[in-house]
Amino acid sequence: MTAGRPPIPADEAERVAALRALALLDTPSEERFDRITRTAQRVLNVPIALITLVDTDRQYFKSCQGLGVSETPRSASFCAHAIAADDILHVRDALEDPRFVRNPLVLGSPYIRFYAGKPLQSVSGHRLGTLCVIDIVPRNLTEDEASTLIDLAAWAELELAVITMSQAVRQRDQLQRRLRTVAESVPLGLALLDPAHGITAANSSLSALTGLSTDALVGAPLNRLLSDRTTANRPLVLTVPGEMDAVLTAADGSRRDVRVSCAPLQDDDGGALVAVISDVTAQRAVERLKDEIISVTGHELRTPLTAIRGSLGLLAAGIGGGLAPDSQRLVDSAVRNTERLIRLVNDMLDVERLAAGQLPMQLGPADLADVATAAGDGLLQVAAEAGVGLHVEADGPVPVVGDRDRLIQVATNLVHNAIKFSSVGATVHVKAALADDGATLTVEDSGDGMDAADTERIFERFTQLDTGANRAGAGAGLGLAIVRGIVEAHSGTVTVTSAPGQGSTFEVRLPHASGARP
Amino acid sequence: MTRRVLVIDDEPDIREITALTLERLAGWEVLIASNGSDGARLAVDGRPDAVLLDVMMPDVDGEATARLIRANCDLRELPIVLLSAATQLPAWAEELGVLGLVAKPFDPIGLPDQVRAELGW
Repeated sequence: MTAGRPPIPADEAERVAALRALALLDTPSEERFDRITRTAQRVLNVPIALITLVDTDRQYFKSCQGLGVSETPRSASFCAHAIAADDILHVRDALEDPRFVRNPLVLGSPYIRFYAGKPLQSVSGHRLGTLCVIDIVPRNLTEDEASTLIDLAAWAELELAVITMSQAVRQRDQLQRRLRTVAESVPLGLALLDPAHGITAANSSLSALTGLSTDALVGAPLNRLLSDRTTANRPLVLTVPGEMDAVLTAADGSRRDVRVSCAPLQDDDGGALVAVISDVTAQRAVERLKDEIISVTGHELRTPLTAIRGSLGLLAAGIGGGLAPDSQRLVDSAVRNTERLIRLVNDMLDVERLAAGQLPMQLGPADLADVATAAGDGLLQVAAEAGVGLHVEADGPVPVVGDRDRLIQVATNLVHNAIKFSSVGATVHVKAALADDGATLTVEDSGDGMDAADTERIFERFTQLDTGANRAGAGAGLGLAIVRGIVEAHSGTVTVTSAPGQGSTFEVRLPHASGARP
Repeated sequence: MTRRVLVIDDEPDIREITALTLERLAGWEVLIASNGSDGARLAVDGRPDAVLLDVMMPDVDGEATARLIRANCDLRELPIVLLSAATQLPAWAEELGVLGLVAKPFDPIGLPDQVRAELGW
């Protein structure tokens, strides 16, 4: 039976997909197709005229004149043979054609003898089925009749194309409705702009933000609604593509802080832009409040601390008269703890300002050897009180570009930590040295060390390792966060090499800055 | 000859401690003013050798006080050192010929040396 089996086209998968996409299988008959088959039946004078669609296992009759069935198996289908090529399949007498001589539709009802089918192409170029005419007696399709069949098939193809087009239009409309819903439901002002930055379309969020109706927004230049955040009242200069901070003045005169991002519309040659405007008023207010709190805290805490420290310092030094030994101990304790409080306040303010990128840095030529020596000198007494040796090694200058005071703060924090975690009798080694790619400052202790897992964590804010070490000397866990912040502000890195029981070595690497090379 | 310094600060406790420290530890004569306007007047009338100036003060702040002082041609060269809760010199300090800054809170025992260092005394 294989001789009679219709071939499977090379584009079968795409062909079936295109057929299914038309959504014509198993649908009621339609006048738009029936008028074509009726015309074919009448003009070509045949008892049967069909528009067939060749599905995976069957051929479905979308339009059918002269037959009482709606589909037949694909294996017995003449049309499945016809769609193997573009031209008309013309079978004068099925009983004389080896492909069809044993076909059940030939041997049984409807006893086909004559068949002529013209394949119907989808818009995408796949042959989906045919317009075919059938007779139960042998006959010949004349050239005129072939031309008629081709014309009628072109008509049927046109109807298929109309279906595809209306589907595309429906899809486009649906997509547009969805996009409009998205644009209307996002809490962001959206505007389409023409090249002169005039608004051509705006969403309701922008309307709410500006207090202008979407109709009133159309035609308005966007930059007239927005002014520069830094120099108020000057219209915003839009950079494309780009993000800008701006102030938006609403119709009622109220002002909002906004962030504007502008991008060219893809696939638009006319230079149209899309602008996204987000209201950041609340966010800016929080930022301003935070800045204010930091600034006020700085001043309001430092002023009483200055008085307390001053008074206690003078008392401890005997300026107010000599103190009895017990009183002296109490005053000394108060001095020490005041200093600790001052360090904490300073560290917290530094951490906040580093996080906000607002810690002022005065970069200039600096000497890392001098930095190491200064930090060491400042901690000699702390080291002596802890019974820890302090060895600063710096042979010759180690020039870097940096803020000397801030680098001393880095070295001081590292050395202070090293002293804190050292046992009595141990020595902390501090070394400044030139490196190929810059300069290094290393601080090495022989303390308890730490797990590898902790070597990154310790640089985070408020992190303290529970080492069971001298808790009295522990701080708020800010020192190393400040170290990292300052070092990174110098484009440098800080790392620690450590293992439990093996001590810790902190290494600060600062890059060569241009002109800083010796 | 005894040095004479003018301390301008709106906080009474800070003024007193600063004055006490400089008088007792450095042996200087200390003039005090509790606001910028009085301070600028005393900078003329009191003939100080140097001014220790607070930065954050109500009404006439440190910058305005420094401008008032510099507006007097006799005081163009009067050494000014800031006594401030800030850790770095403000932008206007250079323009007004401010010599340096002592950060609050300061260690009273070290204060005379810190001031001497900033003044070059």
